[in-house]
Amino acid sequence: MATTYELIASTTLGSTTTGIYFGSIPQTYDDLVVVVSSRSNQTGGFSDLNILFNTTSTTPGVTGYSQRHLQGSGSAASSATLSNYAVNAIQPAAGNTTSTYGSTEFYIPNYTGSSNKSVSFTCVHETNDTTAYIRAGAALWSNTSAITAISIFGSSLADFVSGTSAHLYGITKA
Amino acid sequence: MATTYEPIASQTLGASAASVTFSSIPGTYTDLVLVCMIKSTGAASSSGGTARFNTDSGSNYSHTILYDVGSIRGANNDRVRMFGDIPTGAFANAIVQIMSYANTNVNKTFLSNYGEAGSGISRIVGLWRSTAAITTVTLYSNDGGADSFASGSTFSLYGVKAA
Repeated sequence: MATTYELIASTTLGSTTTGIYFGSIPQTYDDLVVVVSSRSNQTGGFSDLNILFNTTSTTPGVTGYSQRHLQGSGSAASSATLSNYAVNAIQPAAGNTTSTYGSTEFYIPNYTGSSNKSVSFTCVHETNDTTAYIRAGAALWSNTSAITAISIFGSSLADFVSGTSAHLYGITKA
Repeated sequence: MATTYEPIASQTLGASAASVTFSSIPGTYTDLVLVCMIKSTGAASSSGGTARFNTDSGSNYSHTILYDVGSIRGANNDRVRMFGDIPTGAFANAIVQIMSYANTNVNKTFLSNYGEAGSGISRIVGLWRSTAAITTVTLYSNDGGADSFASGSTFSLYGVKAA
């Protein structure tokens, strides 16, 4: 039987790096899953984790992206919308518990189709503190092009630390 | 290497449909995963998408929903909320994990991750008070209203095996 949840590419950083890029994504699957374990060297208690499609850019603030997300901090829940930025999650930063990485999963269905591309994601911020974030989001890239590349990066002010990893999987339906 | 995440069946609607059914689901996996891209035909549904298992229409379902403006609890319903309000203009995503679906010692539960950037996101936990193995899943775009799933909506069912 054909493998349906298949690893396409994987990167684990051995040093501080601005971003992780998956290019030349095969167009032979139905959906994509990106699993990220990450930490930023940005000063403070959390940092952005962003993805953009079909570009090598590591700069957010791109038109054509919108999202809505739920977020909990451990003491409060909130919701927010974001537009013309990137698919935006959160990760631990330099002010959080050391040697601790956040976990994020992005699910991208029908990535080769001719509709606008939607993303479902869940991220956890991870720190031993009274404030730690979980974010659940739905994002939209208003572009009908097939996704051939994914750029994963943090805040424009900072980089990923060594040990950050990202894995790209392809899913094939029946 | 043993395959642990296997496609069971998929459907892509070539026309609108009031419901979508997966039947004769084999009992050989541990969990099921249902992945959907869905859109509604009519005026935006105000009651959200629902499901029934094994065509059970009794008052055997309950759910808790966290969504972007609050939380909802439902109980003793004749179908269970599985999706949020389904939009008409864009496709919403849903990833539903149905745990221990073939275990005849437990009632059946699922977790649904649902969202569309323009209309809202939901996280839903649902319960079917039956110990029967799930062999059929029927999905509806509403809670008994006239809306249907729009053409182009896709539904993919996967089986997941534990170690």
